[in-house]
Amino acid sequence: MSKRYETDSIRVLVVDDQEALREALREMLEDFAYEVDTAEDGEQAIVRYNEFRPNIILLDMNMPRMDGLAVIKYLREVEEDSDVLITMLTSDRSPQNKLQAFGAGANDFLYKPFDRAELLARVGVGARQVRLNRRLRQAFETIDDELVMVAELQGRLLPGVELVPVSWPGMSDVRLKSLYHPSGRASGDYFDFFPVGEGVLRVVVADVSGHGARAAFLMGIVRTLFRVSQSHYMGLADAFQLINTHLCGIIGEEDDFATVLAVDLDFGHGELRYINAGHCPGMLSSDSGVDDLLPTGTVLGFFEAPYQERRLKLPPRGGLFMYTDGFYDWQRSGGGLFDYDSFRELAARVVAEHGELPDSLMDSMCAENGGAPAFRDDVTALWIAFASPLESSYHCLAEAVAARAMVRGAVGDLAGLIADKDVLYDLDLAMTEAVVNVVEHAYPEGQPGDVEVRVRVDVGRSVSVEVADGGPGFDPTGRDLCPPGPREESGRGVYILSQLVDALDVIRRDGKNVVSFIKNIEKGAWIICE
Amino acid sequence: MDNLRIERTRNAVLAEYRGEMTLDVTGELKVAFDAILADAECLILDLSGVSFIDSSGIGFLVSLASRVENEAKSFYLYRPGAQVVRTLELVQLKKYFKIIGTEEELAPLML
Repeated sequence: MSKRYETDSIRVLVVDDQEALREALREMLEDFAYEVDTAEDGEQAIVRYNEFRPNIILLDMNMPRMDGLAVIKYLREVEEDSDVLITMLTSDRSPQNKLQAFGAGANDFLYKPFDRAELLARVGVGARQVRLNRRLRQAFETIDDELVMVAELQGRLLPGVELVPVSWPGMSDVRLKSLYHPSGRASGDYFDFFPVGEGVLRVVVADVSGHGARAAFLMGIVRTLFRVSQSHYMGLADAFQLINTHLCGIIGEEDDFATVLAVDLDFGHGELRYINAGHCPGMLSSDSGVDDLLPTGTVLGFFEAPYQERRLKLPPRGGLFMYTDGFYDWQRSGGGLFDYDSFRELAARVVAEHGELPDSLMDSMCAENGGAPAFRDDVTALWIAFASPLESSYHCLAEAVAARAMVRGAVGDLAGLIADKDVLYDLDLAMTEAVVNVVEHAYPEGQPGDVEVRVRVDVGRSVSVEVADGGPGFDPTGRDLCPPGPREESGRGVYILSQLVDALDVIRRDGKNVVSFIKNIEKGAWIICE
Repeated sequence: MDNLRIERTRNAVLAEYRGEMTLDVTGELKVAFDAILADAECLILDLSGVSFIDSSGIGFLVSLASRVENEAKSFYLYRPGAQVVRTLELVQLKKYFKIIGTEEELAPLML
């Protein structure tokens, strides 16, 4: 249906087979500033309706060719115009006639012969109704435009929905794929992913209660505060505490809340840390099966509560599926509810089959339902597939012969992956210098302890090495990395190390001194290059 | 030392060491060269058989060169491999050593 003119004028179509009556009504209504057109029967009324687009129709019941009842039915059912106000004009005072007209969609009734003042009063009421409808429509369109804007803004807060191979440091074989289907224009669902330090990927899926602008607004706050946790290097527990405090302050006594599952995938330390605040359990798949990341605390926004993270060993390869509850609790096309248990069973099967989620899950749901699921809520999912870098550990007594033999062994293992002899030599030299540093300086004389070397290979990219000792440690602060002159007896090893690698760090961790370095290696140097 | 071969002329000693020059052997090398240095005016260290050298090995070479030159004697590195030269360059000590690469350069020293 096309829009009526959005001016303040009211257009009235007078339909009657008596010309004298038509003209009398035209004259009377035009005196009161209505725009008036006329038709002499039902068929002409339809033609005039389409050209004149009246707001009010004064419609005679009994006319030749097409009577008033047929006109009402046509306008309401064929044109699907429920806005135009129709006042029936008839001399038939039977209740049945009246009921039929109201049943077909008439708004008002006026018996012939009618009183001039009453007719003007009835048209006046109709005109007020038309103007009210106009204002309501304009208000609705304004609100709708704003919702479109909110939805556009919200779209900008979400990362891309395409397959994303992650290229942040320490994440060599991590791929993400997202799915986002808001049920309305703006949504309370949210997902995000970003690095929080080297080798740690933070992934978040959240669901704010309700829909529309209110849910989208709260979702924007949750998203922003999670991003603050990135820039301020906050752990999960602190991040949840911060978000909960803010939401409690904003929501107050209202009944809004947010459920959130946030996971830190720490590829560097082979650990998964998560907090699930009343959200659907995430699904962690590995070669040994599927584990649920069950809720660890209550929803956010109700009351102040501590949030503690839970830690799991990160499997060397696998996937993490995070989603919102829109995936379940919808009616199957064949009847019955597709509930959480049905969803969990299906998702676990797809996850275990290493399908490319969430596409393969949607395909399975369509297949099981015999068509696209009739989701009732926002549907959001995030799939993270990962394979940890190759990792090896070596250790020996911090004594010169054993330490050199250990490094030779480690380099021998790397020779199975790296073909370039110069690169292998550099790695050998860098590791030797780090280990010699331990042998010579880490332990009191005559009391050698252990030296441990951990080598992580991001095939096709880099080799990361950590050399750890349990000695009292030393403070590397202020040590310059200038080449030592011929007369200087120390500092040459660390200088060599610094010249051979792309990143070098000395830290104390878990009671150990750790010299760590990363050497980036060009693709052509590798035997295996993905 | 099994992998240290010594050739003497009237004024010079040519010492050929084969293997790695790292912390685990530098102590033994120091002892061996104490004896060699005593009666040589010129020490030539053949490094063509050195497959790997680290900062300890370089420290040994610097210390040896320093000792020899303090006694107004001569010290040369002979035929160091590419990786040994690269490592010396890395610590900016290549110019500190007199390096000879050919038998023609060696011959006059071995008279």
